[in-house]
Amino acid sequence: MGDLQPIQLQVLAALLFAIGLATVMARRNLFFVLMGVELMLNAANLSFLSWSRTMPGSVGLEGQLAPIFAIAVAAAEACVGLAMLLSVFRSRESLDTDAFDRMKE
Amino acid sequence: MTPQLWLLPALPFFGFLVNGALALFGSRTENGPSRGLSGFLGVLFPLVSFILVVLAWQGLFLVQDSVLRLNHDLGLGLRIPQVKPFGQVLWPWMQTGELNVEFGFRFDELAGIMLLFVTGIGTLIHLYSVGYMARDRGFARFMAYMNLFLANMVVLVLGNGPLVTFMGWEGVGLCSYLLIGFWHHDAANGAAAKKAFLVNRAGDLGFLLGLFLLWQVLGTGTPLTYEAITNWFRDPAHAVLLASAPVAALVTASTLLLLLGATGKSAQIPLLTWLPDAMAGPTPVSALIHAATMVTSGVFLLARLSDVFAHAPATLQVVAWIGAATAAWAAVTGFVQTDIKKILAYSTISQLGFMFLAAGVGAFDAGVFHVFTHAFFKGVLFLGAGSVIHALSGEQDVRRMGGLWKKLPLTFAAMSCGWYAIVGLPFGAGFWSKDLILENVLLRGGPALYLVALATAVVTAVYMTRLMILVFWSKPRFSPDAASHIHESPLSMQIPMWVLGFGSLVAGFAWADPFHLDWFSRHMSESVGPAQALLGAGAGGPSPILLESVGVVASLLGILVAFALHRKGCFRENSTGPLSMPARAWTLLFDGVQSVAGIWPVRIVSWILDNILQPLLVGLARVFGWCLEMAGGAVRMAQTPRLRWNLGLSVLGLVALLILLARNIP
Repeated sequence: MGDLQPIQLQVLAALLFAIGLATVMARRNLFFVLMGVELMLNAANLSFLSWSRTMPGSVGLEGQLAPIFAIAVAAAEACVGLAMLLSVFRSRESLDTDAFDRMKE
Repeated sequence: MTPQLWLLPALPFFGFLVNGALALFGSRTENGPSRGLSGFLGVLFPLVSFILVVLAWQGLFLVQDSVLRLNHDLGLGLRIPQVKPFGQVLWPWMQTGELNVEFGFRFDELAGIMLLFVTGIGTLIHLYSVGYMARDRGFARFMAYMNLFLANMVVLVLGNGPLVTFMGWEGVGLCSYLLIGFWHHDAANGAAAKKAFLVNRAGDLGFLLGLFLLWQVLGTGTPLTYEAITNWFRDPAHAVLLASAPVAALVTASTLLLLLGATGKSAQIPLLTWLPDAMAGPTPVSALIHAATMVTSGVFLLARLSDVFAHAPATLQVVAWIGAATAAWAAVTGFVQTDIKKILAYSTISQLGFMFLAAGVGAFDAGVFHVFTHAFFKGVLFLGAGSVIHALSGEQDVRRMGGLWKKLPLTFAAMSCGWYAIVGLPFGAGFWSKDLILENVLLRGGPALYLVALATAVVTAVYMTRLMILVFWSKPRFSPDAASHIHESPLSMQIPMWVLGFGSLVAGFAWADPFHLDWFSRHMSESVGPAQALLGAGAGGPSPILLESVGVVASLLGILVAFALHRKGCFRENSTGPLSMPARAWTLLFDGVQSVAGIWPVRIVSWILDNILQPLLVGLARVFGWCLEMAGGAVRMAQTPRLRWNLGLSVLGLVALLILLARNIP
């Protein structure tokens, strides 16, 4: 076992993203959908960080700065998302995403 | 220094804008827009334009006089053209490589003479309108239309090429439409306006097509200006080309189509039906547009393109016979009319026929001279008729007039001058121009045309004398109620009548050969001289004095016949003779021809369009829409309300997109 290779980090990020996506698509509970979204966001952050270390010729801080913004936005998003979730639950008495089909009409 | 020719049409156009604004913003107020202001402005701009025309006319000779005198004094014997026309190009209009047209004006002697009386008589009739229309609610609108007409007429005459002329040609047609339908609360007036416009459109089509053919003759290199066209046709180098059969045929076809345009504007056979109906407009309009200026633009076009027409002898034959037939037919029709304005309308058509006849036999200068004199005497006749109608509170039927010379002495005096001129009594304006035409017709056209023209001159004297007898000389036939309202018209209406009445007595001296006065023909020689020389002067005939005597005898004969008929009671109110058939029946012939040749084909085509093609198209559109609806329904099935499905499909799409992108990266 040598040092951590960049490709390993990227594969990990991809795996995390896939798990997040699978969560979003497989779970019907809105709570878990939100958690899947968070996981996908963090997978993207991990990918950013990894590239910032390993990208040839990259010496800047962009790769490290972007996740900070993403985390801030994710926090706000979680906030709003949870508030909407509460509001939806109050009006529909349900968190099942498959039940929300009124846009079809 | 470039002469600022654009001012000539721009001034009346500015008057149109100002009066139009007055009419728009004043229409909401209780009394309508200020009549004093719009009347003042409406007359001012044409007047300034007239003054500028006079100055420009002087300018034609200013430089040349000294050169001519030097040439004469030193005995150099140089052949110097008497005048140098000046032009102004305003902007390039159409630049397509093959067709290059510049928008510009050109002031030469033909345009100058036309403009002198167009703006001069135009100003007088604007002044007359101030009195005539004073009580009308739409006064400012009327002045605006009149100014717009004058601007367009100036463009028509002053244009440096046929296309600029065509612009004015269309513009005067529009103003004619607007003014015939001026009192549009009556549906009949609107119908008359529409008829005038549509019949003119038929002529305009001929104008345009003729122009295209003419352009084909000239070849693409020649710019479309009168100067270039004239020089091209005068160039001896082109004589052989013009003699070849295909080119000659093209020139003949082109001139025939241009002639159609001229007959539309000048109300000749076959497009003459609109002019009698056009009398629905206010009387100053009839005087200015439908007698003195606009209707003569057909003759103007013939004179302008005289070099082209001179190369199409067949067309000139057609022109002559159209003119003779129209003159004779309209004179007879004028004899049976009962509406004072309709009588004058048919008289106008008849006189225009004389002008066409002159042009047809190759005497373009005599034709334009008759345009010139006719503008004076027909102007005063119409203004006098307007004054009579004004005095009788709108009565137009000559059978309910009579004895008016006592009540309206000034109008009577002015109209008598017009009558004196039109019947051709010695030394009146019509005497000189009509006898000149008769003389030219005999020398160049032959005895058949001459006899028709002479007979028409007799009938002219008969119907004009009948008009004067019925309106002024016979016993009064109007109701006592109407008699109490009769009043002489205001000064603003009197002045133009006096000026034009005086003009109709003396205008003929502009070209009176026996007195060696040839001012008019001298100034026409540059424009139409070569064409007339090409056509030949004709064989020598009887002496002019003899012919003039014959003309005077014809007039006197007509007057005597009219008085004899009056004495026998043929003009009485309820007389029923063969000639007293409904006035309308006389126009029906040509209305019928027009409906068979023009209106019915259009109706048939529009019926086919309406009942066959339109349902077909609508059906096709329905089928197409139905197909789209079905397709949309099918695609809608793919839409799912499931969030998870949406997301999954989005991811699939994203992956597909990424693969595509990746493949494009080298």
